[in-house]
Order: sequence, then C-alpha cells, then structure tokens
Amino acid sequence: MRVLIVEDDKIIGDGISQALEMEHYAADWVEDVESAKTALLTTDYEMLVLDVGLPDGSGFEILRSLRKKNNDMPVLILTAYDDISYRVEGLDLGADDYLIKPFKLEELLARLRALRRRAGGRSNPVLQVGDVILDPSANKVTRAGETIHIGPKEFAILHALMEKCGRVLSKAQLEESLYGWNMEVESNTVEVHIHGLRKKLGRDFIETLRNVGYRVGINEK
Amino acid sequence: MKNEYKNVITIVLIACIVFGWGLSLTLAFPEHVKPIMMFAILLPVIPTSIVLWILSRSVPQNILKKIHEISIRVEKDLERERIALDTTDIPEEVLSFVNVINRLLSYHHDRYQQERDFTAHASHELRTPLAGIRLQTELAMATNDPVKQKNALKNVMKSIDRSTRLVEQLLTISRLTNENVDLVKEQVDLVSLLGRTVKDNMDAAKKKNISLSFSSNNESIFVDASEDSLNILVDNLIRNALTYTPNDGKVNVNVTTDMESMHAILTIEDTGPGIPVYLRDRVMKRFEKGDKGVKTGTGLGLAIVKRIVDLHGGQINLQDVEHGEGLRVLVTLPVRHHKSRIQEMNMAEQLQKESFEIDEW
Repeated sequence: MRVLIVEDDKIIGDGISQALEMEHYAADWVEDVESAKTALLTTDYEMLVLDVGLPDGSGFEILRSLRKKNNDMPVLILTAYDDISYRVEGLDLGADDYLIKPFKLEELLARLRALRRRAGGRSNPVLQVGDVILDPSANKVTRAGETIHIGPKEFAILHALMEKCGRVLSKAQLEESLYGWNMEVESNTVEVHIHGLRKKLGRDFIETLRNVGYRVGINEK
Repeated sequence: MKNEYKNVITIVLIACIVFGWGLSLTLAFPEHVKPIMMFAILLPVIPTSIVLWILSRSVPQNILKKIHEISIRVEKDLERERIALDTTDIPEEVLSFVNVINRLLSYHHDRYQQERDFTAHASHELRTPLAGIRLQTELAMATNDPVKQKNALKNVMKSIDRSTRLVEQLLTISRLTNENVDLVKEQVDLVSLLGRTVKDNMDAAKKKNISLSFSSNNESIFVDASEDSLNILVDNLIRNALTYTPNDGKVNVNVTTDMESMHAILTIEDTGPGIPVYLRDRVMKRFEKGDKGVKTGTGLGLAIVKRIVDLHGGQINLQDVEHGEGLRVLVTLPVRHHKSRIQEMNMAEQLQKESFEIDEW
C-alpha cells in the first residue's frame, strides 16, 4: 500500500515514514502543500496522512482539492491543533479520521489499518481467501491454521492481492504499492516475490494472467 | 423621555398662570369674601401639586425601570455570548453609557481572542516536539539495529532542545508582557555585553562556518537597562541571524552612539535571505514566522525583542542590507542620562517590587 505523508516537522515526518515502512507500507513524505499536490498528481496513493499547519498553507487546502476532484482515498489528519472547531472542520471537509499530536504509534497504525479496511468495504480485520488467512495487525499469515513465514515484500504483495480479491492487479500497480521514492526498485522483483509466495501457499493460489497481471480468489469461489 | 419633562414644565406654567390669574381676581372682591375666594383658587393648585409630585417621582423611576429592562436584556446577551449590547430602543440618557460598555466589551473580547490564539499556538508548538520525542522513542524501542537507535536518540535530543528553548521563550514573553512588568534598570555597558554574547554564540557560528564579528568605535556605551533583558534581546537577534544565514555566511554586530539624539545604535547584519517588507511588522508578533518554507524558530524571538526594546523606550527596525542579500536589524536605545535623586529613589522602590515578583515566579 502506497501512503503519502504530508508533515512539515522533520523529526515526526521521518518517524512516521520509518514506522510505516516497518509495517510494509510504501511511504513517501513531503513537507509542504506544493509538493503534496505534485505528489498526488504524479503517483497513485491509496492513503494520505495529513498535517494541518504547513509552511506554505493549510493541509485543509490539500484535502479540499482532493475531494473536489472526487478522489475518495482515506485521509487521516494528524495535527497538534486540538481545538474542537479544527477537528469538525477537518472531518466536514472530508477527512476520515483525526489524530492529535502527540500520539501513540500503535494507535496511528491501528487507525490506518481501520481506514484501509473501510476503504476496501470490509469490517472484518482479517483477510481470508480459501484457507489462507492474513492478519494485518499481527503481520501474520496462516494456511489451514498453520503459520507461514513470509518476507515483508511478499507480505505486502499478498496483502494487496487479497484485499482486491478476485480482481487483477498489474505488475506496475504492485510495484507502485511496494516501493516509495527513496527505495530502489529491482527488476523482476514482483515475479520473484510471486514465485516465493507460490512456493509457500501452493501453485494455484495466485493466478497469472499473461501480460495483464495477477489475482487471487477465483479458484476458491 | 424628553416629552415627560416638557409635560412637567407645561403643567407648572399652567398652574402659575391659573394661580396668578386667581390672585389678581381676588383683589377685586370685597374684604369678607377674599378668604373664601383665596381658598377656592388654591383648590386647583392642590391636585396640580399632587400631579407634579407624582411626575417628579415617576421620571427617575421610569429611567430606573428602563435600566432594569436593559440589565435583563444584557444578561440574555451574555448567555448568548454576544460581545455587544443591543442598542435599539435604549433611551438617550443611557445610550452613551451603553456605548461605553460596548467599547469596553469589545476591547476585552479582542484581548481574550488574542490570548486564546496565543494559547492555541503555544499548545501546538509544545505538542509538536513532544510528538517527535514519543515517536522516535517508540521507534528506538522497536528496533535492535544500533544505527537506527542512535539516529532515533539524536532526533529525541533535537526535539528536547527545541521544547526547552520554547519553554524558556514562553516564560520570558509571559514575564515581559505582564502589564505590571517593572524592570530593574541599572548601568549596563552595551559594548561589553555585546562582546560577551557574541563570544557565547561563537560555537554555533563555527558549526555553520559563519564568520561572526563584533565591532565598535566606543570603549563603552552605558544605557539604563535591565541587563538580563538586554542579554535576551541581543542573544535572540544574534541567534536569529545565525539560524537564517546559510553556511559560510557572515554576521556582523556593531554598536555606536548618536550623541545628538542621545541614542545607542545597535546593528546586526547577516547574509541570510532577509525579510520581505510586507512581513516586517508581522514577524514582530507572537508566533508569526517569516516567509513560507522557513520554520526553524519558536516564533517568539522577535516578539520578545520588540517587547524589550519597547520597555526600554527604544526602537527596532528591520531593513535590507546595502549590498547583496541579507537582513539588517537596527535597534536604538536611549543612552544613560544624568540620574536625579528622585529617579534613584524610584529605582530603590522598583528593586523591592522586582524582588517580590521574582519570588512569585
């Protein structure tokens, strides 16, 4: 999952980026309104973590223009302004959640998971396709009740595929959700990870559609 | 309301005319009828007086009643948190009073709003480094990688320094903006004070390879000032210059006197980006920072500087430097005059007050 962080405080921005990467998100971090708008134009983000007080304007500005374009990506506002009127304004402008600084990291991560779930139209915190169960909060995958050890990139790919169960994701889409700007993209890496996943979950779990992409969940339905 | 006075005057006039007319008539009557006639004439005067008496009571009572009505309305206004009293239907006699109250309310509303904004800003500024500390600590605890841990700890340190500085600045500004602030002024030598502050900031300058220099043609320049406040003033200005000047730049501090106007003139020039003219007043206000992209300071430094300059009867100006980019801060302070005996006595009093205030802090 590709996330954009808009945060002008260097220490917080750096911290959130690191934390999200630890949780297998591909996170990009920008520090002002201008760069945020550019980033949103050029990259397909699935989630936005937004600070309000930015050096060249307000985060609300970004939110407003996003919703105006009917972009319905989940937006979590993260700000040190605790005034009720700010919260109400943010939520009424189309934010999905609001967290006040200082915050607990686990709470931020849980809220992001909840937003991701809701965006996918689900309420069940775990994903299940056939006998494979993926638990995003515990970073755990089981197959027929048995825990399967998979690497962080494999986890991210599997999460993306299971989230869009039954739908095809192209190699480019998977790559986009795997790598932030500051990460090196190795060629063939999606193929390598898909190969790894098949080894662990069985040959037929992930289906390849030649020149189109990958999907899970058709065989099980 | 005015009409009621008119009525009273009319009634008094009529009563006088009737009484005078009756009196003149009685003079024409025979001697034995006169007392009866006098009594007959007095008869209309009695009810007239009663009416007059009632009116004379009712006029102020009417006003009192109106005031009572207004006070009920004011109470309702307050419940609705209105900042001005409704002036419709207010009698003229009370209107000016209500207007004065409205001015007072609006003054206090503005002050309250300013304080609210200040508190909101202050809490925002305090929460941000705390969020950084919390986040980086959690990251350090979540990893076993010593490089990452060290990096997180460095960030924690930075955030702690930032909040420490902020708390110091907040305390300074709240002490200085206290309306009853009474600085203990003494003879302060600006030349040696500047020399010391420049020296204290040398390390910070070296870190950015900035050449920080101090010059003065005078051996000493005495001003009547609070030494602590002047230290804060000069330190803030030099720190600002060092913060906004890019690596390998220059910061020049100079102090001289203008004997004609009896002022000391302190200038601090840097080779930073400067402050555009339209922002120069704004940056002197609390929590107002420079142009976009600049977000390093606490937003209080120049507000503190401005307040200290004001408290010393001086002036501060932000200007362009003559050649190339940069900012010149120009501060003028009155130099020390001959002190009279009365002033010295006042100083002794101030000293007592100040020590009392320090106890409170």
